[in-house]
Amino acid sequence: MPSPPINPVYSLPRTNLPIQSLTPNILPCHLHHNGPTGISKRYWNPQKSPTTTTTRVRENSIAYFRGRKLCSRALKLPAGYQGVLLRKTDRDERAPSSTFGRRSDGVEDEEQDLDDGEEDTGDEVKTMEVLASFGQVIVWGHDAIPEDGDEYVKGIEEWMGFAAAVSDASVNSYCPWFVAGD
Amino acid sequence: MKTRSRKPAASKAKPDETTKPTLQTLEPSVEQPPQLFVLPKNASPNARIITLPNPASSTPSRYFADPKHGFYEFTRIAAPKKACRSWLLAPDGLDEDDTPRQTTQDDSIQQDDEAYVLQTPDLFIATPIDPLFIVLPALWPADDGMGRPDWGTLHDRLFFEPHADRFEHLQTVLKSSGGRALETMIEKRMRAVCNVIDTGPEEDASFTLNVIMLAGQLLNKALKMVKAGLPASMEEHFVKKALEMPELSMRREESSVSMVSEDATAGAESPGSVSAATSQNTDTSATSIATVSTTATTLSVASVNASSSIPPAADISHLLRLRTALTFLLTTYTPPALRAHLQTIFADPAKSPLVDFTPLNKHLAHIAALRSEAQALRSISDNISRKRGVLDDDEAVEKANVKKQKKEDEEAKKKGMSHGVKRLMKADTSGMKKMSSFFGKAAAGKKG
Repeated sequence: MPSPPINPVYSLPRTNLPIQSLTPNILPCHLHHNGPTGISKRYWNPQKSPTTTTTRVRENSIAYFRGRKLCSRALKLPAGYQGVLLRKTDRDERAPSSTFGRRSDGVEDEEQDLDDGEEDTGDEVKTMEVLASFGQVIVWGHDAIPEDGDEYVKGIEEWMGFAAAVSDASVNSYCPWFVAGD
Repeated sequence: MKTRSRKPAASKAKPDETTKPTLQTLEPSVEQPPQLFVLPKNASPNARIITLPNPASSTPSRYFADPKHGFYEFTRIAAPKKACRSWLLAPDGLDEDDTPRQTTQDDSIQQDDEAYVLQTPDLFIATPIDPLFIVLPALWPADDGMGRPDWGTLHDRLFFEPHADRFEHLQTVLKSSGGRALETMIEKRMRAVCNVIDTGPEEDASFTLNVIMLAGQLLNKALKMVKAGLPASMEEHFVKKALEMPELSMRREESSVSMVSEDATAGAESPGSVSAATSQNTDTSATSIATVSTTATTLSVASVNASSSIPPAADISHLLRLRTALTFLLTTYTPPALRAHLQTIFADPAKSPLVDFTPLNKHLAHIAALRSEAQALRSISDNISRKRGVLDDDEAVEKANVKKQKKEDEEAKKKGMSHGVKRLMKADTSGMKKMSSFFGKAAAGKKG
């Protein structure tokens, strides 16, 4: 979970190394494990199936996982977004090359006039390690393609588009009568 | 042929881990498993993940501050607990691959496809958030408790207010490189909802929250959201369902029609005021005096229209959509006290000339009335038409139950009988004494 008692500031250092790309699959079952596993075609081998639903053609796959038939629905991330697999680390952020006047212990700039020195204590910036990236998420359902009501489908297809409209900050001086009011 | 080449790898693959977690092939769970995030592409290297108070609940929440793109909030997508789900992170090329390539490359090199399993099916999505909402907790309450407006610069508000440690992370970020950009973003949005005193180019401007301006911003946002289209599930749940007319039986149609016409005259102000309002929308350059006069004309136009038109469904659903969007904004991004205040503003047509929800309210009340009527009607007709039917059904069910019971009993009896007794049943016992007669006598004899 994202909230241990103290949440430091995290940065995402940019690596020059090519990041491995992967495909996250939401399996409709509980796997009581965290960590790497081997995977082989024998046990996980999704096959594309060009199913045409009534509304649109979707890219579906079918896989058999431990004898059960699973059907998938691929959710592409909207443009401008990128999926990443991140791991919290305890490493302090090293000063990136672009900054100056910054020591390795955190953030310390010339804007000293604002602080009382107190934020030096809380200014730890830890790094998040980027492990992998992904461009789509595949949601699997038992014997049926997950519907629109699925949390993941809603979250990625509905909310991400809607959030852009919600957050649209370009609505300055749009309605003068409110400015006039009061 | 695939499977044969992979046998060694297969033996230590997933099923081991799920069926027999104690096997030595499975290493213990990772202490702090990585998590899946969806972040904006090409984020600046100075972007940070920070904790800030949530504008609505003021609980600390995580945000993504990117000097290039602005602020993002994290939405955690997780399946409900009872819906068992987990992540399987498969390396790319495994399930995306089309079969021809696999067959050509299907060598032992690909065997150690490293996948990753995550128990919790969480996905954190960063979606943009208006910086306005980020600072809102620092701007409200807008007065010092005695009705005097509370003036303060952005820095005062974020760094020196009594609860400033809420914004500790924001301080950190604002002071880091790239903080400038974020600060200007916030300040720009503050100017949209605050009264500002500019003391000079050198000095920081002083702000105090203007609730009316905030209401205007929210309303504009809501308009944009409606224009962009509400998400399908929201539309379905809050608009379509709410406006659904109850089905009425033929008999009552007369009265329902009369109600509609009644509603038409009552709620007829809407089209005039709404259309006038939207025309005002475009008129961004109008000064305060001009707007006052335009609202006046709105009213007159409305009164002219009042007698003639029935509010078209489009207007009503637009209003409802608008209100849905507003409610969404208020509940997600404003603190409860401020929310109540804003709601009174939106509910009062005198204070918010842009939106007048009265036709919508009337329409909804009308629908509710129709619905309750239909409900009452249905229950009456249910009583009339189904009384017999239901009883019949019950009787039938009862009969069937009794029959079933009998059958079962018989069967149980048959099963309970011994083999010998069963055979004897076939024997012709007519003309023989009853078995019990012997025993009865014998028992009596013994006793006697």
